[in-house]
Amino acid sequence: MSSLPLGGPGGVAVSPDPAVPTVSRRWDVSTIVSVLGMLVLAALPLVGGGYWIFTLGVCFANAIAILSVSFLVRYAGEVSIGHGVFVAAGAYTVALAEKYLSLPLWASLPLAAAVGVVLGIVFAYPTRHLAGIYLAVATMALALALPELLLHFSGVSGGYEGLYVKLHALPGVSTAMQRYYLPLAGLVVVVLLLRHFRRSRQAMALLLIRTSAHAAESFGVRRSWARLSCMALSSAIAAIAGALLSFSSSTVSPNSFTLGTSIFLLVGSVVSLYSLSLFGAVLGGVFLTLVPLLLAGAGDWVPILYGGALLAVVLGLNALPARMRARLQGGRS
Amino acid sequence: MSAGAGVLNAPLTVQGLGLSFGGIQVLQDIALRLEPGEITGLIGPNGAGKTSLFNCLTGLYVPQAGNIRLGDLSLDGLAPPGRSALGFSRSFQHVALCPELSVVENVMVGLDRQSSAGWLAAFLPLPRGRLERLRNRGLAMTALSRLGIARLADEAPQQLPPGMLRLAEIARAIAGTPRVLLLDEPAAGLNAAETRELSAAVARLRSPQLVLVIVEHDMDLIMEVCDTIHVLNVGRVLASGRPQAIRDNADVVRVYLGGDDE
Repeated sequence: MSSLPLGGPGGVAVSPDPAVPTVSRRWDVSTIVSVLGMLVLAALPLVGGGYWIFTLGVCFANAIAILSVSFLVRYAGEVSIGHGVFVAAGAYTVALAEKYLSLPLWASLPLAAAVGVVLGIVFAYPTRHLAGIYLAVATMALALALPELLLHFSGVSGGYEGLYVKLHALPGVSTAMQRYYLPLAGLVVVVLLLRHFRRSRQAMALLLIRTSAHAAESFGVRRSWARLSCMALSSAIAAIAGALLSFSSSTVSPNSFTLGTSIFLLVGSVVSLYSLSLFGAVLGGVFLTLVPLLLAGAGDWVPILYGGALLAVVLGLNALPARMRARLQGGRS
Repeated sequence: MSAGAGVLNAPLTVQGLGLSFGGIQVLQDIALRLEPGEITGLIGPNGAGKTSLFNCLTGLYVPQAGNIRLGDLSLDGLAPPGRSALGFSRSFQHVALCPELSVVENVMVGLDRQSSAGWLAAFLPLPRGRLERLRNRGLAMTALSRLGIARLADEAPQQLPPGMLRLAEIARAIAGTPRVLLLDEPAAGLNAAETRELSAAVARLRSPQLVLVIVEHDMDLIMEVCDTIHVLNVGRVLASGRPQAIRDNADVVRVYLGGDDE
């Protein structure tokens, strides 16, 4: 890769830290971990079944939603507390496409992604000059408005009850298996697409403009382009998550997409260290979906135990050596 | 790439340029003619307005008076990305590399304006995107080689000393074969040996189409590589001329050379 000869005679001596592995080597290890993890996840329904398999399907869809929040943090340096809205957009697109057009998931999923892109741009354009806490609060406004909006248009949205997603996406495969494997496949595809994206010129331009806006602008990268692109992509990923969430849980309703949902997506993203890797995303998804269930027997203690678990995971992950954290975060070439 | 025929081999001219921040006059009535094929030095004591002038040239600052032209083309109201499209390129006084990108990836951003791979190629392994990425990597490696740091291509910027980061920044600025190249204190943080190498590398950048301007405190480097030197002092041009004439100019010696340089 870097076999070009040195330019200057007697180049300046530099001693890179031998303990730090090269970028490509780091990928090799994380690729192996990801592939092993995927094989385990793919084999799970063969050994287990029932409720846990259903919950894991939901968990994978949540993991994609967490990736959408992490994408925004990693590439735009911005935090969203309203991503539940984009997830809801994907979920309702699938449900409405089934209700009115009898479209199954494989047809409505691309439609949901397109709706996500459009919504992301519609939100990003007026807010393109906002940053930090101001943008976060603007996203929160979206999340607050959504349930009311869905109830107002209850004729279309199904009101409190919501809508059902019943059509099979794959003929000849049992419902339970479809609701497990399709979100898992979606998660793997999104992770692979994001991994490829990291090497693209667009990703490099976005990363530079995030850390050094003046420098990026001097090389032709526009700030408004960067914001709109990040928001559109992040929102498309969220909408894909929503589409698979509605399919795996077979129902969509306003109380699945409250402000709390959006806040927990951010919590999941923090728990995963804003990771764009399969392992990180599943870790965030597990925390979001399974930990409340595991604690369910604790009654009034649930919020306290959940808070404690959250603290333990965040502090624990941050205490990891830098190399392990970098590996977990993934998304590097 | 996208520059019109009117700006090929064109000089960069500055006329009556004035810039102020909240009543403080930073630049006043600056008139310069920066010729292609020459290396122009811009010197002056701290606070003389050198970096402000650079920022006006690249469009980061909008001057209140005067104009800047590339050949026949007025650059009024043209933002940095627009000037980049005309072939403007620069390095920064404070190193502005992205820590999440490797050195060669940082340099590849300098080629972004000449790249056309779309969003589909960004997400899918299409041959077109792969070829462009390989081509850009090759061009970035060439730029790194010209500065003698090709071996650092896959390092992360955090692992490198400041001098190397500065060379990487210059590599990014030259990777896209710019028409106007502005180097802001390229030798800051370099040791004597590194500065000598940089000096040789800068001299090699000279080309008949390139307007090359350097802001620098290292007088040896400036005197060695520059054809023309402009001296700024408190926002005005104090003197302009060949290196020897500047060295002998009594005003310059008084305000600048006498104070800072032996």
